[in-house]
Amino acid sequence: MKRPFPFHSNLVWPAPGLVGAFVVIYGLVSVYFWLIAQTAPEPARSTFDVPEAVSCCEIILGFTAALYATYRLLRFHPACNPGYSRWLKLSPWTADRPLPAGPVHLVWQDAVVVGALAAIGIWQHVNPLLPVTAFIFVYLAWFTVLLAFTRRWGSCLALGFLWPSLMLPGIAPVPPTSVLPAICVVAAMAYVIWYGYRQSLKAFPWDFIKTALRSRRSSRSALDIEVRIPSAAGTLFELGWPFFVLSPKILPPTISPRTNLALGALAGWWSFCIIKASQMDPLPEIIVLLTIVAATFRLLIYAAGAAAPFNILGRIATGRIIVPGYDKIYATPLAVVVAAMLGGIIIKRSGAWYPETESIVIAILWWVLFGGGPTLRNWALTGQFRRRAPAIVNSNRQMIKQV
Amino acid sequence: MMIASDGSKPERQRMINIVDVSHHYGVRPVLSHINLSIPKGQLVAVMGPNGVGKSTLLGIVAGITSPARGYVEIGGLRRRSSENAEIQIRKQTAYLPDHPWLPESMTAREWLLAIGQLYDIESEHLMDHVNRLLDLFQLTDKGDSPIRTCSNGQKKKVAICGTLITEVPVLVLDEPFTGGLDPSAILVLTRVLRHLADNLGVTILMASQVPETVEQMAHQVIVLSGTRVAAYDTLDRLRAKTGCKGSLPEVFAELVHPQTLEHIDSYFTRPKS
Repeated sequence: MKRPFPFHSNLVWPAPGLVGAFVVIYGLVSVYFWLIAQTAPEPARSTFDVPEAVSCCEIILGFTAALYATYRLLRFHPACNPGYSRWLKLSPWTADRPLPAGPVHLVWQDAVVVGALAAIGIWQHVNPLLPVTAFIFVYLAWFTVLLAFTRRWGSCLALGFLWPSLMLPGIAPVPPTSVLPAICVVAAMAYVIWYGYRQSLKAFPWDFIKTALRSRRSSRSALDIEVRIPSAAGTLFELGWPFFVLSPKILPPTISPRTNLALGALAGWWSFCIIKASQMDPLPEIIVLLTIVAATFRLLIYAAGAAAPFNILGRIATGRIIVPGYDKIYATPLAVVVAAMLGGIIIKRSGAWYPETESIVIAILWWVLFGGGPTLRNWALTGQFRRRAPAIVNSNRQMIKQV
Repeated sequence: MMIASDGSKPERQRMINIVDVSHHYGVRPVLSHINLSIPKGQLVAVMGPNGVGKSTLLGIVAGITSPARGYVEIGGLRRRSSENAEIQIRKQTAYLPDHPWLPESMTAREWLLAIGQLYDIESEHLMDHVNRLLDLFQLTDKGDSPIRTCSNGQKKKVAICGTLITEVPVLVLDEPFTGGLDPSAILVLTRVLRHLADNLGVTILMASQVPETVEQMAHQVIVLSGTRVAAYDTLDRLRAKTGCKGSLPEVFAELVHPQTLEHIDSYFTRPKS
């Protein structure tokens, strides 16, 4: 019977050049500190009696472990290598087989590499858990990013809740707290990542990544354009005026109510964890201020290039002070600012419950700000506004005059 | 009051319907209570003095500007009434503004292919159509160079091609004959637009100040004066209405500035002081 994920692979060994570079750098630093220890007015018994030497070793070992975790994912994950991904798409590879260029999941060779770093740590009087922890956290962090890159949103959401919980008092691995809760959380994260990774492999090929990675200059064939044009807002402008505002196909993105709910809950949860971890005082004024900034930002996005059908003077002259078809863009920003002010009062009066109250207020503000109507798509299609030609059109006119 | 057109059964065939549209910039009125109905397969030219609101009217029909009052229907769907209606309208309408902006770094061919894909034109047909358009407007040599290397006239041609490549049933063209087009391109565009309207049932609403081309190609002419529609009819009927047997500029002058010819006479006959 075929084993889908064998936990051994000699492909993952770091290149000899990299190992050599590490040995040389580490050796030079060690020699440097040995010389310092020997030439000090009161010679130390060994290099490890020099505190700077230990700190430096910690940094080098931690950084090397983090670098190795990065290498393991960026080198072997198909999402990070467009050429590999394209080749894999054409090959008979399926998700139940090992990746031909080497595994992304951990194998025993990884334990050897990280164990070697930990062993050096023991030899150099550095906490051996440091390189191990650095490796695990960087590996998990990169994997979280890659799950987002391959659009495993369910796993990303779960990880979004698990990551900040490591900051919470009682879970954070800070003495004298037991490390068991932290280990449980990390284990849960590892499980979510493993599950998300399996799902992402099943969903291969990830054609949406191709459009994101395609460079602007490389698009010269009809096929390339077919892929490139409907990709991102950045390329929308390339359709020219007026196609980029009248396009029947490319429309502003819209956050679905479910996504908004999840993101709002995440915002609230992160706030709660940060407030709890830092023992921060209630900050309703900051929340109101940030809400005003966010509401203004939302208003600017909606109003960019979309002017009211007529200006203030026109409103006064015609007696139409409110133009519902246009003024609806002000409704949500105003509602969210009012909600922030009310929330601020509630936070002030919540006493010892302020972390909970503050995080709930933040979640609600998020929901209103991003879920309040009209959606950007609805606004673009049904708003009563006057599209202004982009500034570049006017600059083109100037160029024409100069010619 | 809906201004009549000469098409038979206009109610059934109307493609563009402008209902009680009024617009003003600040306190300056531009359009007042415009009611127009344009039947399918008609090539209608909008004429009027400078600054009378031709571009505004076309912008409202095209969806660039939302009118202060009134609304526009295209193919029986009301503009901006719902997301689906607006998307359907966008799928069947293409707009050429008086000052289009083209992405300078793309080649004309790339850009035309991109626009064609926006309108879901089938790939092989699209490539063939792009080739034919580039040939037609003598852009074959420039087709694969960045648009920034094109002259102003060539850019205008590319913009026109961008409108034609969409193959939509409604074209809204703001001053398509200006912007440095050479005589051959003017001839081509005149024939192509007339062919689209006569043979393929494309409805074309076009602002133009070039009477020769309007006379040659337009089924009907809308004359704007002040903030209103002064006339909307075929050229022959406009002649009959005004009692003017001359060319379109004379009919136009009679409708909009009846004193124009007298002013010319007085300019030359007035004694030098």
